[in-house]
Amino acid sequence: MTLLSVKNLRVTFDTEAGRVEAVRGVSFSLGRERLGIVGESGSGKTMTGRSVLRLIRPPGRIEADAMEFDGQDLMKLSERQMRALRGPRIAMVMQDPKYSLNPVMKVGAQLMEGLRQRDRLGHAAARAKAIAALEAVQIRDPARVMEAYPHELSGGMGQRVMIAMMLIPNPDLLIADEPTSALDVTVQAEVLKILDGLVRERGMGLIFISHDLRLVARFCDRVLVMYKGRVVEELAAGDLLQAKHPYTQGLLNCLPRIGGDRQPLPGLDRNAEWAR
Amino acid sequence: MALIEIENLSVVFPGGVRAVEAVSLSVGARESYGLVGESGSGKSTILRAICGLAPVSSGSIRIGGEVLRRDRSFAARVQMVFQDPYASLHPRHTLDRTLSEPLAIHGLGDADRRVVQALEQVGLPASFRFRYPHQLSGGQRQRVAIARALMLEPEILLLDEPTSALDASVQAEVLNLLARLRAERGLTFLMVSHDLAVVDHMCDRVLVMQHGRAVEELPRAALAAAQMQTDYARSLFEASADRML
Amino acid sequence: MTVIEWLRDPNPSSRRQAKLGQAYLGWLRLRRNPLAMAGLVIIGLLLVVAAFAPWLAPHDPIAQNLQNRLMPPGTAGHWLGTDDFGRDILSRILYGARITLAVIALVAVTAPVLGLIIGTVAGYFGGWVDAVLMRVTDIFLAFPRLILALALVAVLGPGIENAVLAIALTAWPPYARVARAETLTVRHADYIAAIRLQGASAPRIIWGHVVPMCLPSVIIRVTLDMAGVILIAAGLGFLGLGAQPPLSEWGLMISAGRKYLFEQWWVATMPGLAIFIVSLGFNLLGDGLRDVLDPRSSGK
Repeated sequence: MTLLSVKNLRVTFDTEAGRVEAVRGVSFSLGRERLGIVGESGSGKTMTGRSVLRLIRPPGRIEADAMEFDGQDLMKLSERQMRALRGPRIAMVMQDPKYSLNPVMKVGAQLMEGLRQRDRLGHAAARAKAIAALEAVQIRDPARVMEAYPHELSGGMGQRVMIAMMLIPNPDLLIADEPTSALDVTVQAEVLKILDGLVRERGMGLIFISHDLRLVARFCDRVLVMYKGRVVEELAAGDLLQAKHPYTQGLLNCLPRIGGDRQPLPGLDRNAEWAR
Repeated sequence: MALIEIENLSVVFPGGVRAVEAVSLSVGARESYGLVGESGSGKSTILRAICGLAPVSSGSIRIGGEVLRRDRSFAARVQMVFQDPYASLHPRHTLDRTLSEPLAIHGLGDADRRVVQALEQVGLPASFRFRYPHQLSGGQRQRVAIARALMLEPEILLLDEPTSALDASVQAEVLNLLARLRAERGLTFLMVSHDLAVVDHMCDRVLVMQHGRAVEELPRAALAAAQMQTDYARSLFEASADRML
Repeated sequence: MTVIEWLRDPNPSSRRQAKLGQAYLGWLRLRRNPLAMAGLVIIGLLLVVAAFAPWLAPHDPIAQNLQNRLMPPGTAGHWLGTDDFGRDILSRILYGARITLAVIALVAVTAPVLGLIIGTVAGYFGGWVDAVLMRVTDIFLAFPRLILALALVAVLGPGIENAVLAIALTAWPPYARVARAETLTVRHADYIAAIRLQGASAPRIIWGHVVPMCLPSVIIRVTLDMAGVILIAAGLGFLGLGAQPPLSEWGLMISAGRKYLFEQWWVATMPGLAIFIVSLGFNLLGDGLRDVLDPRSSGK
C-alpha cells in the first residue's frame, strides 16, 4: 500500500546570484516501510524532505508531476489543508533539538500545546498523554522533564522529547532529517533504537535523511543515494556493499576505518556525468 | 624530548564548571597525538588552554621545555585549525586578506607570492584569492583555515575536530591533505576528535577522555587490536566499530 | 567584459573588484524592495534639491514682499503660497533642504563614529574598561536634549551650529550600546580567536575585525535615527534654540506659522509635510537596508 508517491520533484530557488536547482527530478514511492535518503551537503536531500510537507518558502518553488499522500494530491492542497496534514498525518523530526524546541517554553507546555489546541483536550487529559509520550521514548522521569526547559536537557534527551512531541498525534509518515547527527556516538545508538521501536510498533512510514550511508543502511529497508539534486542509485539496504554507482561506492570507501592501513583515503572523483 | 608537555592541567571556568581535571600528556616532536571523547569530555578545552583561550587554574603547559609565554613567538610556533569552517574565517574579509594578515602582523614581506603559494599548497586555485568565505564550500573553507594556520610556518598544529563539520568525502580529502602537509613539513599534531576512526587513521597515540579526566592512553596498535583496559574506552570503541559495515 | 560581468565575476582579481561585486549584489537585493526604493528616491530628491536649490527656487527665500503676504497655495508664481512676510514658501522649503541635509550630515558623521569606537572598545575589553565607558554612556544618555541645548544656547548664543552640537552630544550613546552588544557576540567567534592566536594587537582586532561586523547594525540605526534628528532639529528651531530667522529651516518655519494655523494653514503645514516626507524616506530606506545588510541573510 503506497503511502507517499513522488514523481519528478523539482525545487528551484531564484536568487539574485542566479537560479539554483536544489532538487532536479526526484521520484520515489514509500509504503509503510523505511526509506533512507543519503547525500552530502548540496545533494538536495533536506529539500526533498521539506517538499513533501511543502515547507519551502519563496524564492523557492516546488514543482512535481505528482506528489500524492494517501490518495491526496499534495500539490493541489491549500495551505489550510496542508496545515491539517502536518502534524497529525505527516510529522518531521529535525537535527538539533536546541533549535527545534522553543527555548522559552517548558517542555510540558510544548508537548501539550498541540493536544489542547488541535485536539481540544482538557489540561489533565493532555498532561496524561504528554507523560505517556515521554515514557514511550524511555524517559525515566517524565514528570521532571515536563517541568524543564529545553536548554536544561542533554542532546539525547532533547531529541527524544522532539520525537515524543512529533509522535503524539500518531502520524502515518515521519520524516526524520538527520535526527542523530548532533548527538554523541553512544547516544545515537540509543535514540535510534527508540525510533526503531516506535516506528515498528505503530506501523509508520519513515523517511530517514542523513549524510551517513552506513547508519542509514543499518536502519532502513531501502536507500536512495542523492547527488546534486538527483537520485543516482536506489537499492535495498542489504545490497549496499554491492552498490553499482561509482558515487555510492566512493561514499562507502572514503571513510577511515579503525585498524585500516594509513594510506591516503580514496576520495571521490566527482565526474561531471553524474551531475547531468 | 617532548615538544608539548602538559602536567596536571586543570581548567575551571568562572562559574565553577570544571572542564578539565588534572590531565597530563606529552607529545614528542613530529608526533601526531589524538584526544578523543564525547561532548563535555574537555578535549577541546585543553587545546584552548594551550592557546590562552581558556584559563589555566592549575598545572603547567610547556612548549619545547619552556613555560608557555604567549607573545608573537608563540604564534610562530603554534597555530590552530578550528572546528567550524563557517565560523573560523572572517565573513567580511577576502581570502587574500585572511591569509596575508598574519604576514602583516609579523612584518613578513612578499605577501603576494606567499598567499598564492599557500592556496596552491592546500589544493585551491589561485583565482579564489579575492573570494569571500560565503562563496566557498565547507571543505574549501577548511582548506583556507589550514592554509592560514600554516602561513607563519609553525612547528605545532592544534586541530579541533577539523573534519567533523564536513561531508564524508570532503573529510577524506582534508585528512589526506593534513597527512601530506604533516609529512612534508615535519609538523607535530595535537588533534581532537569525537571519531575514533579519524583519530586512528591520523594519530600515533590516543588519549581517551571523559568528563574532563584522562581515562586511558592507547598507542595506535592497541586501538586497532581493541586492547582497551577501561570500560569506557571499550564502550566508545564498540559504538564506533558498530558503525563499520 | 561588460561592467555587470565584471561585477558578477565569481573569481575577482583584486580586493576592489571583490568589494564592488558584493556591493552590487547588495544593491540588487535592495532593488527588490519597492518601499526601500521609494525611500531611496525621496532621499535622492533631498540631495538634488539641496544641491540645486539656487536654480530650482523660483524666488529668493529671504526676499520680503509685504503686499503679497499670506497668499494661499496655487497663487500665480507661489505654488505653495507665501508666509507672513510675503516670502515664497516653496523657495524657503527648497533652501531649507540644505540646512536639513547639513544637520543630518554633521550628526551622522560624528555621533555614530564616536559611539562605535566607545562601544567596541567597551565590549572587547570588558571588565573595568567596559564598566567605566558604559557609565559615561549612561550619563550622556540621561541628558535631556532640550536642557543641553538650552545650556549651550545660554553659553554660546543661539544658532544652528549649537543645535547640531547639542544633538550630536546626545545622539551617540545608543550607537555605543548597539556596537557593544554586537561586539559581545562577535568576541567569542572563532575568527577572532584565530587572529588573536596569530599575535594581533587589540587595536588591529577591534578596528579590522570587530568594527566591520558592527557596521550593519550601526548603519541601519543611523538611517532610522535620521528621521528623529530632523524632528529634533526642527523642534529646537521651533523653540528658537536652533536656527535663527531669517534662515528658512523647516522647524523655524513651522514655529513662525503657528499663529496662522487655522486661517492660513499652509504656512506651517507645508514645511511640516516636507519634514514628514523626508523622515518617511529615511525610515523606509532604513528598513530596506536592514534586509540587505543583515549578516544572517548574507552568511553561510
